[in-house]
Amino acid sequence: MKKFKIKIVLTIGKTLLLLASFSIMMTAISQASQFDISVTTILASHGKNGVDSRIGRQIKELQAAFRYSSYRLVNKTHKRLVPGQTGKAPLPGGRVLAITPLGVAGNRAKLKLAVFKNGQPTFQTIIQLLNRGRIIVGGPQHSGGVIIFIISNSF
Amino acid sequence: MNFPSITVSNNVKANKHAEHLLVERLKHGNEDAFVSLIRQYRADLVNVAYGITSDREESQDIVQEVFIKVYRNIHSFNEKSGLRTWLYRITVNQSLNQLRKWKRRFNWQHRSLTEETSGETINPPELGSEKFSPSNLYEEKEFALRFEEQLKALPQKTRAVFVLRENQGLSYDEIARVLNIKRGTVSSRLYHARLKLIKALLKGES
Amino acid sequence: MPKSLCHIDPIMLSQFIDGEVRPDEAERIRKHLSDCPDCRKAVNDNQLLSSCFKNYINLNTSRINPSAFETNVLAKIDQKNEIIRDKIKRLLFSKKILVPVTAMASVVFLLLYFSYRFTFLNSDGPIRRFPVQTSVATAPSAIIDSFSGETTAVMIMQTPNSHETILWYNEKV
Repeated sequence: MKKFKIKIVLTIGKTLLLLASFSIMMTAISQASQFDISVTTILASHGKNGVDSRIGRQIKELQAAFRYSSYRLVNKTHKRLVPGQTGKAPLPGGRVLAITPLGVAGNRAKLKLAVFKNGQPTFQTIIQLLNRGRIIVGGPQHSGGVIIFIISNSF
Repeated sequence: MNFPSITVSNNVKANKHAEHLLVERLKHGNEDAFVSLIRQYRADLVNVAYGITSDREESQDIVQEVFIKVYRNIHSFNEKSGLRTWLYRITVNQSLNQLRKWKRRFNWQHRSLTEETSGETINPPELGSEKFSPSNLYEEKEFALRFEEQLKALPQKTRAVFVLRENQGLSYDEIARVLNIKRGTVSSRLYHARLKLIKALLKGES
Repeated sequence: MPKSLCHIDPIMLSQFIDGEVRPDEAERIRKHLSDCPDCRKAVNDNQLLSSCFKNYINLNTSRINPSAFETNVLAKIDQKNEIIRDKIKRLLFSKKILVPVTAMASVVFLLLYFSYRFTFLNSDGPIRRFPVQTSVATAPSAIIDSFSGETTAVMIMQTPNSHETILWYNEKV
């Protein structure tokens, strides 16, 4: 009987602990705030244009990873979004990038990214981006090069 | 006529001894020894990796990983197999693994060569003709592209045999040891590689 | 002369080119080559192919900078050593080890402290505070939870220095 009581106490203790950690986690995730999101769209190719002076610093490390000779800035978009709100950034070739912040997990913003081409979804991903961090997304082909978009965020 | 063979045998012994000393120094974690190992084998191993992958950056990465593996696993190296054989084996395995890895992804490394010649019909030069001189031919991107295409069409393991023989000049027995296959397999893979490459280059079809 | 008698077995010819046939067979093939233009052409084609391949490799690999290569390898080894040290550090400071070790240390410390206090002093002694050490791992800028879409391939990489995540995808055409 004594063992049974101890077991019950332990189970209640564990449940409370779990509930406490769960609520802490939920609070962290649902901390509703504003997300400052910037999208820098670049067209990389093997052309002879070199590197656009406006993005030189941003793509310094990318130049070592990729083998393109030309990096041209296509556009820059900045959005201030609240969780659940979708912001759109135009991409070349009839594409649109839709960004929806889902919440915060620790020091990362949970973001949903979706790329549409002529209205049709082509690629979706959910990422956890560090506060003041950047992610480089690329690959879609456009006029002899590839589209690279750099997404940065702060909250 | 015994003299040359004695010299060769002495050279072999001297090389073996130098290799043993190098391995001993490597096992003691001597960084200079590691640098001299890189200097001695880098070019050969990059050539082997390139022969299999046809990608310069990838080959460099592969061989860098090979040297890191050697640095970490030198204690497990059994000197009976020979340092060169061991290095070739790691390089070939690493290259084949890398190719498998890339196959699951996609070819994101764009070659300007492809873009420049896309849409054009390339007529390969005839073997044995004046135009078919290796030094002239390799200045011609079209031919280089065709040659590379045919080479890439070969099975990976066949390419490994081909590069070890044609670029590194390894004997059939040495190749068999590196790849852990039979001598007969080496011979037949080489024959088929040559047959396919020459046929393709002659007829302009794979 | 019938064709079967005229030509050397092609696999043997390939072995002959590589110097992998017995000396007597090599002699027989050499004699045959002096009479047979077809087999001679086959040998020439193979030699040209060999030169082509060597040139192809050399042209493409000769531009590699040896000193940059060396520096990279040594830097990667240093980096890997650092990662191993970091892993050991993280293991040592992981909750599995840190919690029981801290608990044990606290018990031992309290035991020693109280035994010292009650045995010798009977008064309040100074309490030292121990700083807590933490190890910071170099995490990627973004974690990819999921992805889907009309793609032929997706690749996740990160930049070497700042560990920024690169998400590369190939659109289905």
